[in-house]
Amino acid sequence: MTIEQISIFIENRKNALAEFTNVLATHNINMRAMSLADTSDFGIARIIVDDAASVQGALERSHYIVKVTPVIAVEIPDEAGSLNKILKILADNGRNVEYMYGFTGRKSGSAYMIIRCTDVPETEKVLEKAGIRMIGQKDLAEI
Amino acid sequence: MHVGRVNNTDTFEIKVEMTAEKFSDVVSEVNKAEKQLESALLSVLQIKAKVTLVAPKSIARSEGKAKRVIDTRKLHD
Repeated sequence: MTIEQISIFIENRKNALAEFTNVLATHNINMRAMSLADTSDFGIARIIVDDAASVQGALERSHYIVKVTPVIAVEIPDEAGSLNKILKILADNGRNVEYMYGFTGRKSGSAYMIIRCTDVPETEKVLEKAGIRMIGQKDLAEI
Repeated sequence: MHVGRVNNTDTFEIKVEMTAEKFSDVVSEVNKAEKQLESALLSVLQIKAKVTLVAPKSIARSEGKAKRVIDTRKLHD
């Protein structure tokens, strides 16, 4: 079970990020989570939204280059040690994490980690076997 | 294309618009695309240039005699 992450190419120049968030605000798009990967030349904004398809369309119409990537979202208790448990499971099973970032559910009170890994289906199997709850795109509106 | 001067050395930067085909979610792959362009320029044209990826449609289009090279060096002070 995965959710759709939208990655957006952002130039490394003054106002570029504000212009991007202005597009989101104009289209009444609420981000559930965001991560910004930066280099000296450019940035990649990675966002999680409830309706990935319509947000992708809005950004592309505003001339942004976007890519939709399936990522795993695991639900973990919002307490010390919970992330360590997940990463230990992944490490013990040889799963490679490319990047991750977290957010908390506004209704559920749980924490969620977005995990991008090299082999999504295999990682899903490992987490499922370990009894870790993953959420799908439709679950986002409920948490 | 931007020709500049830093510490008595000429610099040459080429801005290239990012495309959907070249964009990747992985930073290292986008960096690699930049480096590949720089290598190709060096290999084919013997020009060492800094390639900077920019947003699509951010480079001004102009008809007729387009100004594609911006030279900010002050050579005749």
